[in-house]
Amino acid sequence: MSLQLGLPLFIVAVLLQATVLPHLRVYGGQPDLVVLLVLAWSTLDQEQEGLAWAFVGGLLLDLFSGTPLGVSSLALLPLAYLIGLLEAQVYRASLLLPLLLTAVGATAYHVIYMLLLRFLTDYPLSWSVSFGYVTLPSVLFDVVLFIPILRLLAHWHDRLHPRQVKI
Amino acid sequence: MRRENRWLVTLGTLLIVTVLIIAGRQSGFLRIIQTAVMAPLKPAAGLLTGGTEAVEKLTEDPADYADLEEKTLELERLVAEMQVEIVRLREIEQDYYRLSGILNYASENADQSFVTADVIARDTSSYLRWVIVNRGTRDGVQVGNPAISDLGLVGRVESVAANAAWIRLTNDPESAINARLQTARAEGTVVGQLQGGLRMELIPQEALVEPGDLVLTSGLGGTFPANIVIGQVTSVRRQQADLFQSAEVRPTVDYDNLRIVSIITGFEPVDLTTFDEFIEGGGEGAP
Repeated sequence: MSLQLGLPLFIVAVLLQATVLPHLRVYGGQPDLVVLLVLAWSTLDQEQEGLAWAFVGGLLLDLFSGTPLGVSSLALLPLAYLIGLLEAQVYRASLLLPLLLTAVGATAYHVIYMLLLRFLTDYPLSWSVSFGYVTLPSVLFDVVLFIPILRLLAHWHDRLHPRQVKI
Repeated sequence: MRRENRWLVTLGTLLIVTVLIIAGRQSGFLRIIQTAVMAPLKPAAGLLTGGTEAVEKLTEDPADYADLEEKTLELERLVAEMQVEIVRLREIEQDYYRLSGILNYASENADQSFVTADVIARDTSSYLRWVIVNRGTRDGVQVGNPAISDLGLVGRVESVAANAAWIRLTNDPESAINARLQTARAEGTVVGQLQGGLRMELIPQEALVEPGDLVLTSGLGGTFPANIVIGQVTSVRRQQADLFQSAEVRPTVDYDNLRIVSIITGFEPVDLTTFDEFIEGGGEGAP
């Protein structure tokens, strides 16, 4: 994803996450739009762009948060790395795998984020309350939204990087 | 270099940069970057917040229900305002009788100055309860300034850029406010809950706490002015074996629908770093 296209996309996603999505909260959870974009692009792209967008997206998220700048990036980077290592074609073949990937990926993001909050900033989080009240509803939102976002980005990705076929 | 190795190098570099950014969070350099980035994003965030509220209003119930709901909301707002007014008058009355004419609340706060700010965004993290407002150091806002609304205490400014300020709401899990109960006259600490409510802890066992009792800032510690309404006790948890009792508190402020806040810029919190230095220094040079 080029900088000219990616940066506005991520800025819009962060603005939506800070203004519109809090009004959709179920219990304490809301869709993690930036996390979904990073997961989707890391899934589709076989280059290192997922890592770069995990870094940028995380910084943008923290700009609109009380957490120290960099915490979200730190939670997103390992995720983007691990997902980027997997083969993108697998996800095109099945519908269940992307859903499973989102559930595991979004949960991992939340767990890493909570660990960083707890140990970097001494934030008084109750694990059971946080998991039930915030993590679970957020992950459910993410699972529902991942396929449309993946489809949208896949369309975009195919236009930017047409698949080459050897004849 | 193999693809996996290249990825590892990139991951390592980005992780190091991120750790350096987190480590340097107290430096002024990051504040400059935050100010620069927030400047173009602030109007967009304000527009989106305004747009969302407009859409929410449009998608409310049908017209007649909407009228009734509007009237109910108006009445609720009036009741809440009157409750705040009653509290203020009771406080003045009690001050008058108890302290024999020592300065009342209004005269104590006559020198305070306020800055009104619009809430332009909420925390992107679902674990934190912060809001971002469109006023910053250019408007005289400083870290530590309390934020209030017409219904009571909203929170405290924790971070500030030239054109924006980050406010930690009183229901943030990391928020702890010295408070007292209006009727029971007992003191305690009000802490935020992730679920959005408040809990008053460390209330002495002998205090007679009843549901309905109003919770106000005590002013102890110097982080907030005294006598700002925080909420109302809904239930009390008291066990003989415990040293203290606690109470669930319903906040008077609706944090989900905050649109405008007033920041008390004239209030200067007491600097407690002297005590930290004293404790760190092993108590040497005690008065």
